[in-house]
Amino acid sequence: MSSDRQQVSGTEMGALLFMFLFGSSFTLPMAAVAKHDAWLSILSALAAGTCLAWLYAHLCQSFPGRTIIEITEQLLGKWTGKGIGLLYAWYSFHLGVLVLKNFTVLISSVGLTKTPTFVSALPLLAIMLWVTFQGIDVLSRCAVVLLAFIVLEIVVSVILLSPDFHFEYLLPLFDQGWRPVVKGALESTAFPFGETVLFAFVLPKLSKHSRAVKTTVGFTLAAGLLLWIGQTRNLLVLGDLVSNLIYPTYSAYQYVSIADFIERIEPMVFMTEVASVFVKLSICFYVTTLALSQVFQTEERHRAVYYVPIALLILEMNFFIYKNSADMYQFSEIWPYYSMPFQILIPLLLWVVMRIKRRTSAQTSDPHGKTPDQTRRPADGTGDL
Amino acid sequence: MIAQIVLFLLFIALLSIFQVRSLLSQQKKKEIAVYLTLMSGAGLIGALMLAGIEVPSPAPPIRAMFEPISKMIFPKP
Repeated sequence: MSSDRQQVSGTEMGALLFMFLFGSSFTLPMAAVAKHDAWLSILSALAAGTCLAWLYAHLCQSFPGRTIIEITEQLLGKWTGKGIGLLYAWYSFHLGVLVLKNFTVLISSVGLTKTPTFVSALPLLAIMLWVTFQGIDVLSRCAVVLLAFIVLEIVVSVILLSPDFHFEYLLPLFDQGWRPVVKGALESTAFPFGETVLFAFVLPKLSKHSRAVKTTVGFTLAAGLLLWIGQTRNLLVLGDLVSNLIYPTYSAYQYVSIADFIERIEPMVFMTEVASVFVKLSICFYVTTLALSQVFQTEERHRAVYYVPIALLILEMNFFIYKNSADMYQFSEIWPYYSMPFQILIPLLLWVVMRIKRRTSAQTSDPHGKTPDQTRRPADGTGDL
Repeated sequence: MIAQIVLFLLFIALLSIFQVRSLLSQQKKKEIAVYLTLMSGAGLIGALMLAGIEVPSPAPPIRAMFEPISKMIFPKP
C-alpha cells in the first residue's frame, strides 16, 4: 500500500520543484513574444516567480502540515475551502492534461511520427500511476536521480554549443518597446514559475516545516537561473528565429558539431523531456487526487480509489482538449490570465486574511505581556492563529 | 468499432466492480459515489470518442471567458 505517510527532505523537495519547473518549459520557447529580448522577460519572470514561491511557501510554513485547502477551511470557512479545493483539483488536472499534450505532440511531431499518440501517452501514464501509488517520497527520490542528468545535460550543451554563440543576437535591447518584454514576462511568470503553486499541496510533506520558505525560494531561484541559461543558450544560437520555432531547444541542439564527431545529439532533448514531464505530470496527478480526497474527506489510505478514473480522464482529455496546434497556440495566449486566480489571487487573499486575523488576535490580547496564543506558538514562529 | 466500445466499457465495468466491492466491504459510501461518478464520466467520454463523436472540449469556453481580459491588457495592433 501507499507509503505516503513518509516525509520528504529539503533536497528531495527541491529536486521535485526543479524537475517540475523544467517539465515542458525546457523544450518550448519561453517569452517568445519578446523575441531576442526574451532573456530579459525570463529574468523578470524569475523575480516575480520567486515572490509567488515565497507567498505560498510562507502560507504553508505558517500552517505546518496543512495544504492550501485546509488553510482556506480554517481561515474562510469549510465550504469556501471545499470550493477552492475543487477549483485547484480542476486546475491541476487541466495542467496535467496540458503537460501530457505537450509531451505527446513533441513525440508525434519530432520523434516518433508514425506512432499513435495513445502508445506514447500510455507508458508515461502507467509509470505516473505506479509512482503516485508508491507515494510522494518515492517520486521525490526519483526526482533527485533524474535531476543530476538534467543539470549535466544543460552544462554539457552550453559547452558544446559555445562555438555557435552569437552575443550580438541579444541586442538591441527594447527595440520593439517595453510591451513585448512585459507580455513575455507575464507569460513566463504563469508558465512555468506560477504553476509551482501546486507545491502548496506538496510542501506539507516536507520533513522540516520551518525550512519551507528557504527550500522553495532557494530552489525556485536555482531552477529559474538554469532555465534562463537554457533559454538564453537557444537565443544565442538561433537569435530571433527562436520565437518562430515550436521546439527551439531541439533545433539548437542540431547545431552541435565538434570535430565532425560529436553530432546529432538532439535526441538528448527527449530524455530530458521524458524525465521532467514524468515528474511534472505525477505532481499534477498527485495534487488532483489529493485535492479531491480532501474535498470529499477521503482517508489518506483510500485516496488510491481516485487514481484510475483520473488517469483515464487525463488520457481521454489529451485527445480532445485541442483540435489542432493553432487551437493550442491560441489557448497558450490566455493561459496567464486563466492561471492568475490560482497562482496569485487565491494565495494572496489567504495571506492577507492570515495577516489581518493575526493582527486582530494580537490586538485583542493583553497589551503588556505575551498573548496566550504566542506563548503556545512553537519557537520557529509557526503554529495556528 | 462496436467491439472496441464494448471491450472498453467491459474493462471500465470490471475495474469498477472490483473497486466498489472492496469499498462496500469497508462501508465507504461517499467514496463509492465519487468513484462511480468519475468512472462513468471516463467510460462515457471514452465510448463517445471510440464511436467517433466529437466530445466538447473545455478549452473554447475558457478562452472565450479570458480572451477579453487578454485583449484589454495587451491590445493587438
